[in-house]
Amino acid sequence: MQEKLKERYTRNIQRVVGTTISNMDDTTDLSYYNSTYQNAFCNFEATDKKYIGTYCIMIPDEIIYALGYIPLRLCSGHQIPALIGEEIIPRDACPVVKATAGFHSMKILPMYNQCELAIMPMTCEAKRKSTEVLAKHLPIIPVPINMSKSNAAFEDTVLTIRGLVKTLEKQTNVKISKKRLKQACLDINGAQRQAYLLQEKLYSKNPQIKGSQVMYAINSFCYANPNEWENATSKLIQEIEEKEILAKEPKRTKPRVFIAGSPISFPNFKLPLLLEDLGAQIVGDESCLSGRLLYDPVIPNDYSLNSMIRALTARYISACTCPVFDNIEDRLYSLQNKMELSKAEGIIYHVLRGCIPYDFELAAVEEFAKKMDIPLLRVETDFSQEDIEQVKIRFEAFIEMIEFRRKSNG
Amino acid sequence: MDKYYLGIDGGSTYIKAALIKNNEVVITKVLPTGIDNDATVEKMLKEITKEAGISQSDIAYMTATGYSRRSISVVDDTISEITAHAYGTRLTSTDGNIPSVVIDIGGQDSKIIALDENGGVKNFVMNDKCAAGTGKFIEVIAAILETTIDRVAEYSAKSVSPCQINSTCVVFAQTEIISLIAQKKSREDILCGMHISMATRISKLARRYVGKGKKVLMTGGGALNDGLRLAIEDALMCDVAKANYPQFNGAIGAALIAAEQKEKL
Repeated sequence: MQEKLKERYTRNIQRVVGTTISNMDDTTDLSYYNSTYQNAFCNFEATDKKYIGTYCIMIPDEIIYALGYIPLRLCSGHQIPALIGEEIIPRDACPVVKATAGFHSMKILPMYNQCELAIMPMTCEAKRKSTEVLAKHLPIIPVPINMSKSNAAFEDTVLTIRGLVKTLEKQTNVKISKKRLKQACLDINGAQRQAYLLQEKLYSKNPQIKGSQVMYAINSFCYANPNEWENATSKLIQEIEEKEILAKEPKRTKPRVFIAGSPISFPNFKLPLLLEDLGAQIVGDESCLSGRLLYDPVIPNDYSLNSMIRALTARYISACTCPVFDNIEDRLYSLQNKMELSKAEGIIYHVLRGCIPYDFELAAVEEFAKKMDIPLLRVETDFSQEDIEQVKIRFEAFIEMIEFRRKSNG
Repeated sequence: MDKYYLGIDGGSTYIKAALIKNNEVVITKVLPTGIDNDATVEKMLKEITKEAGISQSDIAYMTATGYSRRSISVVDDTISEITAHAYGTRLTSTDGNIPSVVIDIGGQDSKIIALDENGGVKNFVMNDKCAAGTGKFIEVIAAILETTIDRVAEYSAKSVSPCQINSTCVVFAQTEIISLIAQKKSREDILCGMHISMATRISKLARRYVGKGKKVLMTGGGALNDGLRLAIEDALMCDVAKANYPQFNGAIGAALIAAEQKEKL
């Protein structure tokens, strides 16, 4: 590759990453997560790690770990590869697939270069079509996902995942053993437990951590070792608990806002950071790359291969509340549950430009919010910073609206 | 209360100010925003205090709203334009009743605000990053047609067969209008077409909040244009009232909030 081009790529990737890291509130120790992101995005030297890439959150990481590989979440929030990807992905497609295609064609990050193959669940249109583009760079295993939430669909998907395991074993020449899959399940469950406890900290009346920090910490799991992440997060929770003991009751609490809609992922933390700058407390989110990433545990009946695969399918696919499924009830149920736990006073509905499934479900979520008497604001944006002022005007007014509602409701 | 309160609305095109006392508008002032907000506001303050026969210290509290609110250093507080516009209707509503929906057409944005029965903001939408459906759009088109923004309504009313204008982008719309001129379309028909095209876009945003028995109030500089207001009425199929002091709704709202803030202190 031309040296100059390489330099430009690395410089710009590092700048965006560095900006997000430095914009995070550092009153809480986030050093582990900062270095996780830095290692993933700012380390351009090849390593001996072997990766298997996946899209979305429907392919169980456990299977990849059991093969002795590291799972790489291909969905990215980085604006520089998204710009590069724009040349190969249609303009109106979402920036996530643009960024993924961009990273592959830039050939600059070791984790992408060392990705031996990619497992592609056939979820939304953009992801499905972009596999053709990615197939130019690495072998692809497409995985059809049954879009129904029926029992029959579940059994169908279990067969698909079994088939996937066989294909992976053949491709990698590694046999998945019961022992290794069990260990992977236990490792990730440990991390899941901490992620759940961390999110609970936001439900407090006077949270001692910011929602953006929680999203940042959880999203970093995509680039972390599960055990290390578990330990770091357990320490973070301890730090929060120490703060909780010393915390004084504030005179007035911040407006509590929940973020719903399209994924928010590193380094694109524009919306959460802006919301908090303007005085809101983010009390939770349903982003697949933070709020939903590690929310549910995997609970097999026993640790036989068959039971584990069934449990993984149930957790990663059947329980997934992505709007690509034909059923919205469980998404609304999960939202209602989170609204009640977090006592949110407003919902920011994030639509990534080009993310049709989430935008489609806006009407239903609006109706749901109306029933719960919670105001909702739709914000359509992408990874660029150009619309910050426009978004700011809307956020400010939304936060003021929540405060006025508080006053008029006594 | 018999104190004076001042609201300043630092818009993209004009800075508007409203002085209120006893919940009534005493004086309003408007000046082009210019590049030095503070200088413009200072000039305004001088004129306002002179006309009202008061000194600046008689103004108990000042609140700013609008895009440039943070670059106006003389004020005591700021508030977002959505909240200010919602408050403003308490004084600018023609029949004294709080409207259900406010359509505000400003220089560079348009907003639709749904209000509850107490005048609180229930929901709002704004136009996206584009000048379509804003005052700027009319200004640009009027200039091509060699007229001014205050005369467009009069021309538009005389249209027999309004032109179809499809471009949502103000720059592309210019091209479209130049081609209409080349086709020898009349100024009346082009301007009426422009109003219809803007009204269609605005009503798309507003329709979800407008319903039977809902009162719609139009504010902002755009409300001074009857051609646009009537086109919105036709697009929404309901009455759209023109606010009192339409251009000053934000400033009046900010002044009312100033009064409320001061009383709390």
